[in-house]
Amino acid sequence: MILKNFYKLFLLFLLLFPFNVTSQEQIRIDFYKTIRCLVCDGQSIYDSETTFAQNLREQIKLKFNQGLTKKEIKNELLTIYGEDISFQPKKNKLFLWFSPFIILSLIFGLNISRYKKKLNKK
Amino acid sequence: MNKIKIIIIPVVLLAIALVIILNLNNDRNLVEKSYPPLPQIIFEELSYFKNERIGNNLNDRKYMINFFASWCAPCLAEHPSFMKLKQKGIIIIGINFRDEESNLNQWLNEHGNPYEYVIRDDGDIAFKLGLIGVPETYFIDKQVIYKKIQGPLFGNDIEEFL
Repeated sequence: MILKNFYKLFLLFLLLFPFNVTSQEQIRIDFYKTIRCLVCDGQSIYDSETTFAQNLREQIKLKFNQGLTKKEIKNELLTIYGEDISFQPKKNKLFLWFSPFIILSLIFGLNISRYKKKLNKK
Repeated sequence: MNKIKIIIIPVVLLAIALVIILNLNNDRNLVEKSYPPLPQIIFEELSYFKNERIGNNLNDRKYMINFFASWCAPCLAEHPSFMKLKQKGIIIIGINFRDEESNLNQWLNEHGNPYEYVIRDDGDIAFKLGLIGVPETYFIDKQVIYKKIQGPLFGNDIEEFL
């Protein structure tokens, strides 16, 4: 009887333990993927194998273990390394990025009437 | 239609110009961005060879903080110019970044020790100072960083910053 229960507990442990670990690790990995490696700009610190990325991963892991939230860690990173460290652009830059499309659509919009006139003449 | 165009086009151009100018100002702020404050661990930790704390010894002096490691080849390239600086009496704090103790000893024995204090770091100090890669050198006056150089430094360049 005791043995049976022990097996059940053991199975439960086997089933639950790995899931718990991976989920916490998954949170960290998802966070790493939002942080840019400043040595190799195109990669996140999750993809990169530079010492910079390794060190940042370790330090962020320590901070997670200390119980800091994602937002607090991100803010700390932003104050130390500046805006470049994050893959998410600041909102005031969004207009700059989309301005070419806005200008293009304005040009098309203004010229539609002219094209229509040309078509009508034909 | 032409009247509308005459009004709209200058307005759009003005708006674009405004946005660009505002963003340029932002970038200028980034360039003048202040460096992070010096972490206190540097002054509280026992230095490696001297077995003493830096404490308040350097409070009103100009000095340099240099991140180095025995596994880092560019560090070796800038090493001779640091030896010359030591002879001139310039204080350099060496922060040994993610290194083996035996390798550090061997490296300094082989090439000489230009550092007034050596502090061993597993990444904590580097993180707080915003290190990107070794070698990296900080120039400090009255406990405030006024210049940061990433990559190896050579003789004349250093004297420009001091």
